[in-house]
Amino acid sequence: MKNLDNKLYSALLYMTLSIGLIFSIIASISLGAVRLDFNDVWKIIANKMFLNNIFQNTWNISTENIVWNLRFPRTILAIIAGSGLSICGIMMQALTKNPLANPYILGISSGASTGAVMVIIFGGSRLFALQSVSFGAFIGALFTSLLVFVLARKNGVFSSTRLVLTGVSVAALFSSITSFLIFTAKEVSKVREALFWMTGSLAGAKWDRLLWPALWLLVCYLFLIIFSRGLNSLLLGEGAATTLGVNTKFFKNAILFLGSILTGFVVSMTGVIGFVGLIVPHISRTLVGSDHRKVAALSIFIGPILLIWADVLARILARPEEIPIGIITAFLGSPFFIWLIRKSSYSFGGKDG
Amino acid sequence: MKKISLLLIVVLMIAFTGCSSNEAPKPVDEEIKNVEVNDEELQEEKTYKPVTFNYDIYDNNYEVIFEKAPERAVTLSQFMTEMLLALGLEDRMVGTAYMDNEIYPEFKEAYESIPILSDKYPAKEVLFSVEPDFVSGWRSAFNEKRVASASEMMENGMNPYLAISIGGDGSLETVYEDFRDLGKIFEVEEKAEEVISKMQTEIKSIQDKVGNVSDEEMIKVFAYDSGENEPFAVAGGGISGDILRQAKAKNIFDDIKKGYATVSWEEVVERNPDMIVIVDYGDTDYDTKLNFLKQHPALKGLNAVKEERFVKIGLADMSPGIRNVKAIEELAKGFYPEKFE
Amino acid sequence: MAKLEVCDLGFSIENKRILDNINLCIEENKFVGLIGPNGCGKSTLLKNIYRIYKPHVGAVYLNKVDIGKIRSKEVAKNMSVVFQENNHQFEFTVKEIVLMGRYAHKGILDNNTKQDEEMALRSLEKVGLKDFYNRSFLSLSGGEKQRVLVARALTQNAKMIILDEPTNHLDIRYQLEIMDIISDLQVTAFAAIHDFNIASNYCDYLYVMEEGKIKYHGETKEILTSQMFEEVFGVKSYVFKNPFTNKIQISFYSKSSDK
Repeated sequence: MKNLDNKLYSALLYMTLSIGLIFSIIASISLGAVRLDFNDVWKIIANKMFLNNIFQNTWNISTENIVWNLRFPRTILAIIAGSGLSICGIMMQALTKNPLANPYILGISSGASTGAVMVIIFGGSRLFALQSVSFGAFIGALFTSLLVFVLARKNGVFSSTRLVLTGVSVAALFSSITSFLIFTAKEVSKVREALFWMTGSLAGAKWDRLLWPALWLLVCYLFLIIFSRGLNSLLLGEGAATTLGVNTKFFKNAILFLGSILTGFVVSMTGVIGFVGLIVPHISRTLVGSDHRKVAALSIFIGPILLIWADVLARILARPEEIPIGIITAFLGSPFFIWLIRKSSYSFGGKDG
Repeated sequence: MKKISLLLIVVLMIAFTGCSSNEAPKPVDEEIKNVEVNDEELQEEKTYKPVTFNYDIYDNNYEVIFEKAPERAVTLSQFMTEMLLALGLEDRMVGTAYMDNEIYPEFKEAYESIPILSDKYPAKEVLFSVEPDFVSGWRSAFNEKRVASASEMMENGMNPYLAISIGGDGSLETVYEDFRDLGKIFEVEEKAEEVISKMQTEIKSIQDKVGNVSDEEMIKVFAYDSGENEPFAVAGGGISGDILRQAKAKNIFDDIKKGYATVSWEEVVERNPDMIVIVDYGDTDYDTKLNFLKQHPALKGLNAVKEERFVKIGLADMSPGIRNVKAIEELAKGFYPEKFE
Repeated sequence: MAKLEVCDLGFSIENKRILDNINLCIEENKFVGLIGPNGCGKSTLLKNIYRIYKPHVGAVYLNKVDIGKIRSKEVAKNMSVVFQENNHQFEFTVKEIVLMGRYAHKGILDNNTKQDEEMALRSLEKVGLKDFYNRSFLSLSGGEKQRVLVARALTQNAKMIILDEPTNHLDIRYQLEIMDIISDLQVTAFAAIHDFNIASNYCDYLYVMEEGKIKYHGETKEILTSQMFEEVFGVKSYVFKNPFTNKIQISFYSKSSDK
């Protein structure tokens, strides 16, 4: 059994991951549906970053547009969504004490889909002045988590089981509402549109949409780091956590609040991208154990790297067309996950005895 | 140590996103600079009449103003490609995409001279890379996750254009209107009128051949697009429904005021069509659909099935454009073959 | 002065009364045992005391303070618990598990200090698992896991320790060792025990439960009588004194062997 405390192992790990992340960012901005000259790409970035035209402009306006307004924000979105989904996954796993929990377990993705589809079909400006599909998705996500919060409580507390079951039921309810809306939609194009939205894609990335989600992500990350002790104990069970002095009520409420807003942000920007929130925490735990401090720190490297590459593949495998990223994450994620389960040295469902 | 570097990365990210809010470059301005001429020359030129449209796309209403004739048009659907080619605008087109069937033979050469961006919808950056100033297609293209949203396009100097005929109240008349609008936008009004006249003449000649058809003689038609559990049929509103009307047929689902509708096999049986039109998406699609309909237990009793009175029409033909003439002709011939001998 | 007092406690699950009118008094530094047949409510009572359940009637006082009204952290500073845990899924090292015992004594931003780690090591030493410090917790046997949990409770350094059938999985050697450790500590202990001989060896005072109520309580030697065993447990017994330890021992036999 390898020594998880090994400082050298830790340093190597983070160094590899940092390099990996930087390399991934470079790849993400250099590769895409349109073949661009690598030199141009880097000169453009340098010009923009130093707010000075250091390099002479020898490229098309469209190249600059593609690099700075399409690929760069998309890469940042991949980082935010990759981290966000991983952090949500970690939080949901702590909340439900189940390593198979994913960010959508409390029905948030269903609520977001319903919100988005309502805007698509009825038109945002007529619907409580919702400005856009993204906003509709966000409101939908918050609404479902609030609903789950209210319904799952009994005597002021909620058990993990009750949370999960309520989440599943609420998810089913909103899925059926979404289906109903789709089937009764008057225009065919809106139906196709709605279905497409739900598949998940990073194509909606824009600079002005990234700030608040990034900030919220930071808050959630800090929460995991600062309160890691309590969260660790929470994983051992309600009884163990309480007897060790952990205020389980506070933690559950906090996770629900922080996590649902974070998932809401991510889903509103990218649609529903599966798998990431499930496998990244697992990969992290396989490498460093279940201490939240370590798992969170690792996940915010692994999540982005994973999603960046899934996005690169989504953009170049079928160019000039784009494959929905959810297909890539599932397609690559499943076999990898299966391999991980088989290889992993820790007991998944409990050793005998 | 690792926490510090982490925080640094995150802070940098946030700094980026915070500072980079309104970063769209404005290509149109640059192009306009090149076009500036002095006052005298301007007075000799015909002044362009700006054309304004209001589009309702998903969540927003957009006002689009054409202040000059576009020179870099992209068409993201077959019907738009053919409409522009019908107006002879190939020199002003820089990209096409999403064909349903083969290009209309008359335009083949012109079509091949324009870059094909993709089979289906191109990725956003592919669209951006050709720096268009006019983007048109079906409504589904105007979405940030498909090609690009209307706002994204307009922020980058591309004016979106949606033909009236793609909506639920499309008709042959709206096709003519669309041609006129395109004529105004591209300053080819004369050519547009030519195209429209030709269409009107040809359609009239077909309709004359069919002659007057009384209500009792009118062929009742079920126009089947797709669907197994429930049929997806051409309904009364929309261009496709109008094409059937122009071919002097009575669409059994004429009463539904949409372009297409999901109906039931029961209704089909009850309304007892004389003929069944099958919309063909290409390849083996027609044969599959034909066999499916012939073997459907509910339809066995229909005269149309028993006497094998099926008419085939291509998907592209049912979309707005100059093909509608061909569509009306093929359908009329299918409905009233005796009038065309 | 009683360390732990339970006053008129009642508890129901789905309208079924599980505990009724429970009154308990555990004196400081005493080792008190709780015995009773399966289903009598021992575990439920303990859960009410260590706050997994909330009593419907009555209250639990620790150091004269109603523990239902104070924060978990405050309670944990003064009371630690050892019971069967069910974590099969999340990987932690033995070190991480044991150090969780220090949670109650730490502020939000505090890290584990050298002192904390030393306490952890010492606790592990006491349960004979010092070499397991960096091992994976989930890879241990049931008995080893249980001993780690005892070490964690020791690390929590509370003046009162509650044990809910803590020695189930253990070899007799470790059963006795753990009981030795607890009684050597200067702490108040309240334990649910199923082995009566162990109860006799270590407990000063006993509570006997039957069907959700306290049936008998008193000094160990006065409680452990064959009449009590026949009445409460439905079994015949021979009660005698162990000549080596001078403690009461019980030997059971069934009615058919009573010739």
